[in-house]
Amino acid sequence: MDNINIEAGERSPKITCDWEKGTMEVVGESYPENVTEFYGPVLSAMENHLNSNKNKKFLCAFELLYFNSSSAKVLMRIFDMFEEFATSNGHSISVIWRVDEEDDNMRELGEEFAEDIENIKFEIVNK
Amino acid sequence: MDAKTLFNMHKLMLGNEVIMTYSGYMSQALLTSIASVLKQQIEQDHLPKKVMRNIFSVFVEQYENVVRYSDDQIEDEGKDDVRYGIMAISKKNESYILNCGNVIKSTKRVKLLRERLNSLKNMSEDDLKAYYKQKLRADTEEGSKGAGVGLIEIARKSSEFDFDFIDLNDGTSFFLLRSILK
Repeated sequence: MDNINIEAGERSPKITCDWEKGTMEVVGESYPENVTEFYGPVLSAMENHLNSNKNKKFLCAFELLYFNSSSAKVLMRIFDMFEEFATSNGHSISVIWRVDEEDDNMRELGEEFAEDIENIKFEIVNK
Repeated sequence: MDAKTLFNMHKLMLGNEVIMTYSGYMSQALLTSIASVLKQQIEQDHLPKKVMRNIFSVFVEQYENVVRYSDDQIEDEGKDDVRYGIMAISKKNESYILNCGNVIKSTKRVKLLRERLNSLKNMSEDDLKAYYKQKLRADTEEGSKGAGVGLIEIARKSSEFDFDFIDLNDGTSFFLLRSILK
């Protein structure tokens, strides 16, 4: 499967997926004009990768400055998908939520997602 | 409208410390430009990062609410939504006031929206958080193109918010939503 390299736009983050390494990185602001159009292909590719991932390890890093409510819905879907693969298929998935040291807001948003997570590792780290 | 009327509008807005206003058809593409100007403008005020982010966030959710739900729409199949609305951002003392408005044609939708906003107004911060998460996971409601969580986001990020529906006496209403951020 081809790796993903999406450059950051004015309203959309940079997304890099390296399937061989088992990593994904999302960096920047997220309020794309059309959330489904933007994230749809990335989410399908990620799900395909997880389905066929033999070593069952995956690392996903987020470094977001702002995201709107439609993007929050996508994030929730990603974390729920990770949780499902970890719980039902024994995958070992780590999420790194990178924030600016002074960005309490983004830290709190990360903490809110982390609250619902049981079987994946969710770490909030300073940039 | 003559030029003098336009000037009077300008004076009226200055008097109300309006820093940004838009009235007309709105699209997602237009949001890209307006948002970038607004960002530059609020950065000049050297506000705490959190307040700045909250202002930007409420603005985006208000704007997207108009673009998705205003009933005054230019129908153009296959093209992105272009809908009519108004937005105004003003400052008063240390507060920012964000207003948006659009037409709603269905009395049933007015009733639903009124109920929804009233219930959001009565929720505590913890209730809002739980409801927000529940809605993030819920399938998109029928007739709702967005995530259906924009209004909850507005309620969470605003220091206060209120709303009004003005009956236009032709079966339609003008919906107004005001958020105050401190």
